[in-house]
Amino acid sequence: MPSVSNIALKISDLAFGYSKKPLLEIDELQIQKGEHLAVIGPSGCGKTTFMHLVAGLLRPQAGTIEIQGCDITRLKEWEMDRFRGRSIGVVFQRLHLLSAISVLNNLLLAQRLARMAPDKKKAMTLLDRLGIAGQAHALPAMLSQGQAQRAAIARAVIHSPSLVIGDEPTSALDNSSAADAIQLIKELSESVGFALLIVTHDERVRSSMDRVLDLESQT
Amino acid sequence: MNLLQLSLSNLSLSPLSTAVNILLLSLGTGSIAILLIATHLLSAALIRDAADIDLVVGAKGSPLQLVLSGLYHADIPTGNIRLSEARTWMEHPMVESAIPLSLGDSHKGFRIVGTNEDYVDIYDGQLAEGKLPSNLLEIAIGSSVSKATGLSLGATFAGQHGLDGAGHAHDEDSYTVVGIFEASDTVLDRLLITTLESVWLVHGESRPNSETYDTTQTNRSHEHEDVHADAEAEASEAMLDDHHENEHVKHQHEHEHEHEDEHEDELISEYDGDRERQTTAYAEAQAITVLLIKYATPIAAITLPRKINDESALQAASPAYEITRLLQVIGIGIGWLQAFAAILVASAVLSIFAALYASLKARRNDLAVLRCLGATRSELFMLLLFEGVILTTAGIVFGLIAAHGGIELAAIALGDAQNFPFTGFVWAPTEFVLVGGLLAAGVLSSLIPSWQAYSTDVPRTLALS
Repeated sequence: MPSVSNIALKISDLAFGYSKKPLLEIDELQIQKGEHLAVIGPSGCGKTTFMHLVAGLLRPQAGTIEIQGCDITRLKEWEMDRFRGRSIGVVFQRLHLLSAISVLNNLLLAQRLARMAPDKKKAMTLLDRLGIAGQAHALPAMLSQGQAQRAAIARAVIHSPSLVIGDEPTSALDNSSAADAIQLIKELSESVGFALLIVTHDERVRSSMDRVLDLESQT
Repeated sequence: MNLLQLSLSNLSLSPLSTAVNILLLSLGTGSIAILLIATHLLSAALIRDAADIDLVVGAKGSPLQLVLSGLYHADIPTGNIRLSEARTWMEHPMVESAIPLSLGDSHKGFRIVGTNEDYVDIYDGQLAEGKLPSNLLEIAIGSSVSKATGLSLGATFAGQHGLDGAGHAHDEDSYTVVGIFEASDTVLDRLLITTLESVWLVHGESRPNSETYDTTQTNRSHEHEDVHADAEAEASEAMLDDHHENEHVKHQHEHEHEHEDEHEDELISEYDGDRERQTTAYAEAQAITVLLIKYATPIAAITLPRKINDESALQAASPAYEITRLLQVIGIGIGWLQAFAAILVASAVLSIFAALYASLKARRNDLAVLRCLGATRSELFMLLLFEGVILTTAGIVFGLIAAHGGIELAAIALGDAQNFPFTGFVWAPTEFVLVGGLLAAGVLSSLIPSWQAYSTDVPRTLALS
């Protein structure tokens, strides 16, 4: 039995549906800090919905979702926004860096929205570690797909969250870039200590994770 | 990096659209601001130059023309009046003070005014150099006149009939500059002040006894004022006739004029006890152009103008009434111009709305991502609002700079030739209303896009992307 303080994510009796018929039901799920979980399932089984529920973007009809011991289903919307900014990192399928500002400013804005003092040195160190320090002042449109994905990963972890959620983060990358991205995010997870939850169809990603949650078997 | 900086960055992503929106709003703002500043300057100048004068009395004609010519020196006079006719009203118990003016000549477009020291006092005129004119053909000049003409103390020049510089020059009677006024930002800056007697002399009116008639006898006194013929007042034919009749008298004295300087001291010593009687009779026979009256009692405002208009051949015009009427007439034109400028502003505000709305559509993903990064709905609302306010503020700032700068440039280009002192370095109180109104319009135009940003459905937007 892991100690409570080591639990990054705990889901109990979760139920969610867009109609009367529930789309998603999860009785029990726990992820430890530093643990990597792949969420899989066929299209339409609720993978993205699950991710949105964990990120607090959707409210479940029943059950609780605890992140670092905080039941996010009880938070008001603005409290959830702040909690998300502080404790959760998100990597999207299509990168979604803010196009109007530089890579570095994307990271500094993430710190600002986490209510942290902008730390340029930390951001530059992280970009250097991901091999894109030279692109720090470039606009996202000037980056290659692989560089942009690294920048998105950097932004998701710059504020040292408890949980990082990836929604098909490698789907737009070639094999080499995808492997690099997963390797990087796993390394960061180990060094920063966040739990990793990746929604994926990608067999390569699934095989590199500690555990797999098949949503089809949950419903 | 904060939300304000992000707003600026978002705007810089579409520089052409941003520039066009700012330009549109600047044009509207600048147009309205120019009208407001011009109206403010005009009103301020009209009030300042009115100098608490309650009534302008002169020859029959247009009352507005009488006020514009007599008080603001911005129109030709309606004609001349006999000092003896004016005397009745100068000594009326309802009159606290009455200042006679003799107009008609100019120098390089600036008016020569024959009057007394009281006229200088109503504008708090202070001499920068020299003294006030006290002898014949002495003249003190306003600061703008000095700058524009280059005249300095001791300089001599001949006045010309009329104001256009094309009139007959009084070469035989040159004025000597004995004083230069400090700038007062009043009409005094643009005038050349001499004595009534000098104007009468120049216009060929005969002098009592000799050319050494002591003008101090009439200064600051209403008992020794003289008359002249106003060359500008074509309508005043009768007065002009007097003028021509008197020309021959002047010619008879030409020989004496030549020796005037030589004999001046000698002649002054010949002054005798009959002089006051003679000069009084002489003055009463002369003409003035207008009489500037200040009431002794408020009730005079009701009764005196009517009495003058009904009981004499003179005309009395109230500056307050005439200027209000003038501003109403000008106001109609300004109203149309303001309406046109308001359409420009409305177009600009709508353009800002369209730009923000289009930008919102293109940035729905960004807004959803911002929510995922921890931005609250309110922060998204503020992000769009900032963009609208930034565009509006930039439009206002550039518009005001263009308006004030444009007016200042125009003032520099016109120089001292302008009838009213224009400057861009002035803030019309109504500009506060303009700025407030525009900011409110900018905020209003941003509200719908801001609300849509606030209402962004993050899961749906992310799913659609």
